[in-house]
Amino acid sequence: MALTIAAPEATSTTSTALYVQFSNVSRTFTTKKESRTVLADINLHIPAGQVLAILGASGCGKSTLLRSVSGLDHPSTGDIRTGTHEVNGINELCAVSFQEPRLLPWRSVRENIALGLAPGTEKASGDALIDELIELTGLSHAASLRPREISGGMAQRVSLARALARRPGVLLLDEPFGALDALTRLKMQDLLLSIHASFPTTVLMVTHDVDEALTLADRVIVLGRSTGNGAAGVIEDLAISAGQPRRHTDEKFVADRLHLLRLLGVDPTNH
Amino acid sequence: MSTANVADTRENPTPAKHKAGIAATILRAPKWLLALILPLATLAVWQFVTVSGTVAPWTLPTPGSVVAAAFELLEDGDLGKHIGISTQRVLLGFAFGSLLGLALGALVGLSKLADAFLGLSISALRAVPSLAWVPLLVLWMKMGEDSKVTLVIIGAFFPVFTTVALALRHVDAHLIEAARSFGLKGLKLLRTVQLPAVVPSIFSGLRLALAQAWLFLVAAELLGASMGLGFLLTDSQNNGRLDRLIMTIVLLAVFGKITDALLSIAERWAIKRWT
Ligand SMILES: Nc1ncnc2c1ncn2[C@@H]1O[C@H](COP(=O)(O)OP(=O)(O)O)[C@@H](O)[C@H]1O
Ligand SMILES: [Mg+2]
Repeated sequence: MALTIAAPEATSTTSTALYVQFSNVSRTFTTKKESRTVLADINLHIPAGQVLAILGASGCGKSTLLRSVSGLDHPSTGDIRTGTHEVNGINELCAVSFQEPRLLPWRSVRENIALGLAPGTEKASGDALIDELIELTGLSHAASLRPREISGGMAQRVSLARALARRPGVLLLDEPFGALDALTRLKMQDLLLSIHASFPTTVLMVTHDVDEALTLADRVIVLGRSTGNGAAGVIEDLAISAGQPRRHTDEKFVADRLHLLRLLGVDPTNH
Repeated sequence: MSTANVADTRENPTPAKHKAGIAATILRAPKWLLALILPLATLAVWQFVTVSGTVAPWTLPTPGSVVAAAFELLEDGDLGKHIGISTQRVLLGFAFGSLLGLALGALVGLSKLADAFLGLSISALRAVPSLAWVPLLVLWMKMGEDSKVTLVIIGAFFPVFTTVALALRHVDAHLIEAARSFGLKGLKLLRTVQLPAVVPSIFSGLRLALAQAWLFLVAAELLGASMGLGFLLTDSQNNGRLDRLIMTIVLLAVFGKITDALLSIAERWAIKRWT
């Protein structure tokens, strides 16, 4: 008699994390006037469950890199895998949260989060997941409100919850806290850490804030000009081994911070 | 003492506020009351100049005789028929025209290919003045209902077509991209993001279309009809029945306003619901 093992029931603590593999990825934008290579020779392996922060000057191709994982953009050469899935078209295994919340104005907070549910999710389990996410992101009192009735920080939490409703193998965050005030930003960083504890997925996060990168990430890469033609590549790949919570006064933290700021062309003596 | 001072400055409006006070005081009255002042004043002046003989009755009949004309026609059963047929033409033409405008507007607004093929032709058709269609429609469809309803369809089509196509092209690209990143595409994307985003525009298009529908209706009925409010206008003109003519104009104003008010209620609901 064949032994059948029931698949473990999906709960929020089941990891859905997938590794991400960039192989020889480059991206050239061709317009009528010119052809410009933005990214070149990207080779990266991000293990499942890792939190990767991506730093780099504005316009160097950070968003382009994330978009190519979600399938909103596609590399000119090379390929990208999330787990065994080779990205080709929209990648439904990942979910994106953008710098702007991008919520549907005519839907309530709850209905906006529901947009993220994977197709074919059963009503009951979908509802349960949304309840859990609303609770986790502290939106219980706002579930029935419309986007225009909530603050920017709350809207960004809705956007995050919507992405998590997908139970993504890879969570893509493109400067998710970039438009928030400093205080809200710090609270969002704490939230992200607690979310990652409950939804342990792979995270690729673009930020322009070195402190944010060093606070949240297991690994920080810096994109910058590596070739003569102005295309960006990975110019630094830094593992952050310190556990959570992290003290910004730790020797290693301070040293990494100075190093990254210098790489980004900032004179650290003023900061 | 100091608290009393604070209270004083708050309660006493500044002199500048006093000056703006007259308009503010008037505006405190109910809106419908303010809106009725001009029509009632016009009616009063009309009554005065006609009854006093300042204006000859064959130039301008008295308000009373206009009302009498209405009742006279109503008793014959003619007025009901004229109003009924005109309303039917407007509603039919408006319904078909705006549905067609919605469908083609969505096509041209969503598909660059459709826009490339249809855009120029449709905007050229739009440039044709409404009355230019009448002789052609009468030749093709004779004097029957079809020619009138078709003209109203033409009138209702363009406002909806234009607003819907334009609005769809300007739906927030960020929203569409976010929805696409969750795997929405095609009809599902249309239903979830694009259509809801343009609902308010659809309603403003519909209101314009309704106004156009009445305009084109009267044009159609003026030029070739044996019934309807537009026919009543030419008929009264030919028979020198100024009282009926004015009555018809008032009726057109009333029906135009009523139908527009109904749509504006729907529009307000839509804006509240979809933005
Ligand atoms: N669709 C596009 N067409 C042409 N150029 C583009 C397009 N998207 C991005 N770029 C160019 O690629 C470069 C990198 O853009 P982006 O990835 O948004 O940078 P970052 O997110 O690092 O600020 C920019 O110089 C931008 O002008
Ligand atoms: Mg960017």
